[in-house]
Amino acid sequence: MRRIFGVVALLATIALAAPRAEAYEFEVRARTIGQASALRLIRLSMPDEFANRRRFTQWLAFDIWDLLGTVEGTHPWERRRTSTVDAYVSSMLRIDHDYGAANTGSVVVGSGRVDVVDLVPEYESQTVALDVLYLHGGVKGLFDDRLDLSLGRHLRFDAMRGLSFDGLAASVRLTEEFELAPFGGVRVRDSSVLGASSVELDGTASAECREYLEDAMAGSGSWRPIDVTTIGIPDDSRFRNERDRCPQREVAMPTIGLDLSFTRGAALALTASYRKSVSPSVELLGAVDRFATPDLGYYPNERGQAPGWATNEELAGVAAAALRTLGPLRLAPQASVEVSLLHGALSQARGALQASRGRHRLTPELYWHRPLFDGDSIFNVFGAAPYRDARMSYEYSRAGHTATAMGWWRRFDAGDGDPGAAAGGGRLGFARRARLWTASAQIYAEGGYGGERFGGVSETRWRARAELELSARLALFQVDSDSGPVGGLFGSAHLAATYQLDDEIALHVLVEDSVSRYSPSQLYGLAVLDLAFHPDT
Amino acid sequence: MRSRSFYIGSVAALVLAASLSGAVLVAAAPPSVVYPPQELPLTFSHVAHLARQPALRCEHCHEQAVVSQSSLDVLMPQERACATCHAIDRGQPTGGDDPRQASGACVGCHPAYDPATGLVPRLRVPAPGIKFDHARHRAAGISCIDCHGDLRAQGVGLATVAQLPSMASCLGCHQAAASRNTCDTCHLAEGGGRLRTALSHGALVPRGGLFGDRHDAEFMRRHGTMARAKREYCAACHRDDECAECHAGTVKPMAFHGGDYVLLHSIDAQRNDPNCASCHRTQTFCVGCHARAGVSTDERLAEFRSGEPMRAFHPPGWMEGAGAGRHGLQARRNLSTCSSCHREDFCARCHSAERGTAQVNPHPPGWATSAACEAMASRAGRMCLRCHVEAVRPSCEPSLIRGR
Repeated sequence: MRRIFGVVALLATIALAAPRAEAYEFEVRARTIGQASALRLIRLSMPDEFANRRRFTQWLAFDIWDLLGTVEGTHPWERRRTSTVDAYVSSMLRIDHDYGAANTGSVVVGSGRVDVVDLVPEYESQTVALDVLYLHGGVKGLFDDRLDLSLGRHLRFDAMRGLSFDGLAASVRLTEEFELAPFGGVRVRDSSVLGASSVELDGTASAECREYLEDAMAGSGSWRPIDVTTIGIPDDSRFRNERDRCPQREVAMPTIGLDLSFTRGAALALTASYRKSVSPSVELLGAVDRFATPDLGYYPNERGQAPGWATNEELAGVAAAALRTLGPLRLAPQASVEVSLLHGALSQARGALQASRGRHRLTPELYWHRPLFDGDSIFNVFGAAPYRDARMSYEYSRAGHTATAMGWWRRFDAGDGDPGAAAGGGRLGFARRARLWTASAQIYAEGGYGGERFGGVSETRWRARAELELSARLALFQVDSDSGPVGGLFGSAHLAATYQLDDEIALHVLVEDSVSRYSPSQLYGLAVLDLAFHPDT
Repeated sequence: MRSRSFYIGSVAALVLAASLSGAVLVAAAPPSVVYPPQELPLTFSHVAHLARQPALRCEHCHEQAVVSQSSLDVLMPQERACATCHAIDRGQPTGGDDPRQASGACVGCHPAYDPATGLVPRLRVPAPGIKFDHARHRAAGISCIDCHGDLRAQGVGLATVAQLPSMASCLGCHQAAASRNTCDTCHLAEGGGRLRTALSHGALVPRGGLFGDRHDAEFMRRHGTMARAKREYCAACHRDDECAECHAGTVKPMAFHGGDYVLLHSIDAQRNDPNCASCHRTQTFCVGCHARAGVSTDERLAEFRSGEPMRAFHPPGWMEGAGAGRHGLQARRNLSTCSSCHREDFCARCHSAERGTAQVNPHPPGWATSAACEAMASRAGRMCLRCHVEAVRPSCEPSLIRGR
């Protein structure tokens, strides 16, 4: 633990001390973020308690380009490439540490005190984490701009959803219109070296970490919690919670995938994608056979019925966006479909058509979604039903004025005659943008499954000086939630300021206070030292 | 309890306040960020000059245009270009009696010329937010008319930013979206080829010209399909760290989660709108916080006890039977909500084929003969063994799918 803190402190010092440097060869972007708030601890027979959260986060993104020196000129108006080939390195590092009592404190359990992180193992990744979100290097534009190659940790967004993997990616431009992009490697998990929990497939599988212990007769055993003390972890270890010995969560997850893209001018873009992640089944838990009966592995396997490998995710999908102009009417249809081959089912589909004429834009939209989980999760076989959405939005914009209206309706297929199987709502908004000011207001109302909520939000931003922008936000709404006794009138206000200290260096400060019948004042504070600041306007 | 009219009145007051604050603002259209507004206090007629005989060619006045390689070059005719026809004599600012000399009077072109001071208002032509190489286009056989239009036919007097080429006309040849990384052919770029979006007169933001890419009020919610269809197009302006800052973020986004959202999130979570999984992993994110807050099945921290009616989180009868107000229906409707408090092993206490459990069948009707069962058994069979501990092999045999 001390070593991790040491590394964090060293990196933070280096990043804070280094001014933002930019040239055409490299760029460093850094944000240092401090947050303070309180987490409400629900108490039924006495007033709720509050445990403070104090979070320090630092992003550090570092890119190097033109390692082969194929760019002439450094001025944006004059920069010119002398060759299609370019070599680069791109990376992003995040240090995240929540040192408030909510995460790092202890609580009384029975006759003793126990560290929170031992009771809530999921807090471990939030309490202190050093994550490499991506770090890859590569060469672009090989063979007359037909091939790109990259190696390392990638964040990848294909026709389905995002993933992160360590491995090799390529992009082959077959013709002017077709591009093929295969990739392969090992999927990044929470347990990966410097891996972020936020890129985990979904984190449901094997959460409680039990293993199957066979009994005298085949098939007569049972699943039992893993006794961590039998595998060499001292009882007084800070990391003695069972989740740290959850072996199926820690195995490598080989992943392959392929995107095929088609683009026709500015009129049509289409990508079809496929990807698959598999992992080996966990066998013996360490080298020592700890049980009276033969330890056949993590799963029931006395007859060899546990497969050596299983699929965690297998998806295929298509996404398309197009543009068609018919006289004064501009039509922009978008559609995407995602099928989970692992589940043998459609997982989501969406279609929308944005129709624009002059200052008016109308967008009808349909959406269908079925929740899916990691292939190791038993939630997959629980008969989760899909839901479907219909949405319609309208926008009118003219010379700095924008008016919007949006309505939505969601129906859950799991109805069983329950009239509360749907939810819907609407929103009206108005925004005005001037040279030094923007102001917006929005009112909304929604109800149905989940609860009711109606209210409004108003926000104003003012550029007080060239280097100073102030903003204020006021929200007021009435809530009646289906889940638990949450309800009543809620209000919140925040004041924020952005002070630009230098070119692309800014300090953001925000203080928010919320008022409800549960708390006369719930404060949230945020401060960001931004070394990659670009003003919005 | 306050009346509903109080709340409605409060909301109305909010809207009014915002509207009034907007009403005192200086109404002004946002300037074109690529072609910033110019100040051209001149009198000039392209029509008249192009109509004269012998005919004038563009380069006769804009002589630098044929060799210019940068859009920073000033290509407006200088005084000496005008002086080839007009007898400009700064010693005689009002011209003379000779008609040729009269056409050289300062006021002939500079209507705001001040005889008292001898000064004319300055012209301001800010650098455009794009690159352009006139010489290369000319060498490729592109004529002035191809990009700037036929000024004579259009009856253009003083040319303004309206006569500068539009993106649509550029795409007529360049087809920017057809190949990779070509946005920086015209647009200003940072190192690595990403576009410079912070320009001197505002931010460069898509307005719907390509694939319906307009960044309107709903774009934040809708951008996924666009990104899936052509990620490289997004990557022309956005870096991976911008995606990660939200989708793997650590800061509460005010636009989505303003106010005391920790207390208020239950409505959104139950409906899954917006989709929580876009940014949060159900268990690694939700379960920990719920356990710490006391809303979980961990009895060491939770205040709730399912076995004690006065301390039950769910309503009476929650665990019994099917239909409205029962957990089965809610689970089928949005299982993600359940899994934010309950780890899967909690469900397996009842929904498992293992001896010693209640052996309640969690599968939907027709599961044994469904394509979904076949797909899962063949691809993720070890998961089946979590409950079917006596199975000879993972399969969809009806004898395996039993239970209450």
